[in-house]
Amino acid sequence: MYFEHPLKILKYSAKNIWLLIFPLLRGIYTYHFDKNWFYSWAKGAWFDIAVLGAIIIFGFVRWFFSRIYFTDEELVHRDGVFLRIHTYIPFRNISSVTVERPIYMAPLRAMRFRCDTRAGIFKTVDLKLLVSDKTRRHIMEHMLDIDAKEKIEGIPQPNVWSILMFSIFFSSGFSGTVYLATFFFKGGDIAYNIISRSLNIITIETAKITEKLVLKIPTAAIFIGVFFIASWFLSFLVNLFRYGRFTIECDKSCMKVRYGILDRKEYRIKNSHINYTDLRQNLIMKLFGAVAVNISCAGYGSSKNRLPVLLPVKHEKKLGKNLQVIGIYSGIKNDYSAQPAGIGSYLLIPLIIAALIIPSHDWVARLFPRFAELSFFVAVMLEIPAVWFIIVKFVALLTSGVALYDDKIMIRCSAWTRFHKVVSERDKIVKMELEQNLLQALSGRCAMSIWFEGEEHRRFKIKAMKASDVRKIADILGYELAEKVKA
Amino acid sequence: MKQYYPDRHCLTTMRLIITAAVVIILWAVRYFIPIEKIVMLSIVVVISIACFEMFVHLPMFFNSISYSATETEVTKSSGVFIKVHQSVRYSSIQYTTRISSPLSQYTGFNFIIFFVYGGQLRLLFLKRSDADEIIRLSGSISVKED
Repeated sequence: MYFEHPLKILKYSAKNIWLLIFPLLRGIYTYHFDKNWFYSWAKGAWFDIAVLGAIIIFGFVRWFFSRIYFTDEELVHRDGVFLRIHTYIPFRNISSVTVERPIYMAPLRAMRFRCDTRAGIFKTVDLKLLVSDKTRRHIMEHMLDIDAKEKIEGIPQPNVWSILMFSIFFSSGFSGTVYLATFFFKGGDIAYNIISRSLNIITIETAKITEKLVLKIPTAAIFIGVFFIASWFLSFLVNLFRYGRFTIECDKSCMKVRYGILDRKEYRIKNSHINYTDLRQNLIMKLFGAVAVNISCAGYGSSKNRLPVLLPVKHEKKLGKNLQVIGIYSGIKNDYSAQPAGIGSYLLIPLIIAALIIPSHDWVARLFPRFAELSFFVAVMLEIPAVWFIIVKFVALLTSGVALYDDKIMIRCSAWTRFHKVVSERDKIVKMELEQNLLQALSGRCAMSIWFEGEEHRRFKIKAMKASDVRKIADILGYELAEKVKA
Repeated sequence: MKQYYPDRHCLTTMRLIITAAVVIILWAVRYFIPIEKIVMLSIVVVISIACFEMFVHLPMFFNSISYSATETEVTKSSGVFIKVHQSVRYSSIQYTTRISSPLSQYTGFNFIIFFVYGGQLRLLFLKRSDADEIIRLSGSISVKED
């Protein structure tokens, strides 16, 4: 039997922190209604100490009843003081285990342990514990691990360059903004003053330069731009620290992934529980033949702001044959492709969006002449991603399709501005859909969607497929799709 | 196939808990609300809801629950107004949680939650012996006692 790390007492105690309302009320009362308020407050301090003691005792009792056991086949966690909660997790059903060592817990030798099975519909963790290094070692003895004799050699290890590229491609202005906003809210006035002062200086300086260059960019737009660049850079740094020192080891049944510079994480993943492998690209990565390999497996990359990345940016041709064990094949061509004649289903919406931006600026400029300059700037700024979106969708039309080989299925598709190459075993498909409107029925085309096993029910949709091809695919996969929609 | 029904002790326990809750609520209402009419109205409403819950809804709910276990699957039937039948194969169970209160043989507070692909099956208010048996039947786990 093992206990969680004593640090957990603080976390359990924190749940009863609301009890501090009583000392607070007492303090307010004595301050307002008593002449010798300090004396009265100090005289009754025993009450505050008693409340604080009660909070810590509650935390201790809760910690004392949180125990970890093992049997030959399962991990058992007992929790709860009044209601006893026993969680039994068979080792054979564990899909992934995670050990996280945050730097601030390092002096206390505490670490977070998580284990996950394929149960449930949300990306929730099945068991979360705060353990000591000793307990972690004992738990990990029972967990899946790599057999040193059967270890697959030649797995491409991500280098500094690939982590850097990954951090550049997968850092977004939005998430950076969220970080900054959190910083503003939590850091309070001091952080607000520092950042706003710095931004003001940058904005004033940039405004001077633009004035000199006779570029009539509104100050508000410069401010927003600087803000987004700064937030993107912050997001980039966070990703760099998060995915730095990335290593991957693998045998036929298990995979071990470690990453993180400050918060070191170690994952052990059961290969047979990987739902699918997703080779992601954006347009720039596609041009250079680079991919980021992600996997879908319960518990992997399910924490907040984490990506289920297995190989940060790598050249697709350099992935090698050693990764076939986890479903990563290269050089496979589509057996069934999207039809170029179905160009409308890919380009119609992007073209409409791109075409509407400039007229929208004209309307805004007529209605609000004061904002004409800003509106023009916004229109230009929106037109750039709109044109980019058209190019992405055109490339998606040329590359989307399905390949069937061995017992695997490979789907090439796109979602927003990302390209996906999804590889999985055929028997991991849980749902297939053929979608056809009347126009598509006339032309014999349709959209095909496929869902794979997993906690997250994710749809992979390929538009403009030939309906007869989709029926053939369904037939091979053992699905029976309804007859053609009658026009 | 074996049928299991909720422990009737639990109905009594639930009635006691509801009564205790009603007493606390009524005390709080009398203590904090100075207007007599609102106090009276609150008392009537709270007691009516409690009586409905204790003597109408809960007995109907308990009568509607039944569980059946075979060697391969467990089925739960429940619902007062809308009947729901849920079946889970033992082979699809990924992990199990068992919740029990102190003196659960008298209170009937034994719950089992089977976590399966895509969801969970909750078996509520079981007798302790029934809970042990269902867990043993599910075959995946061993029963541990403190």
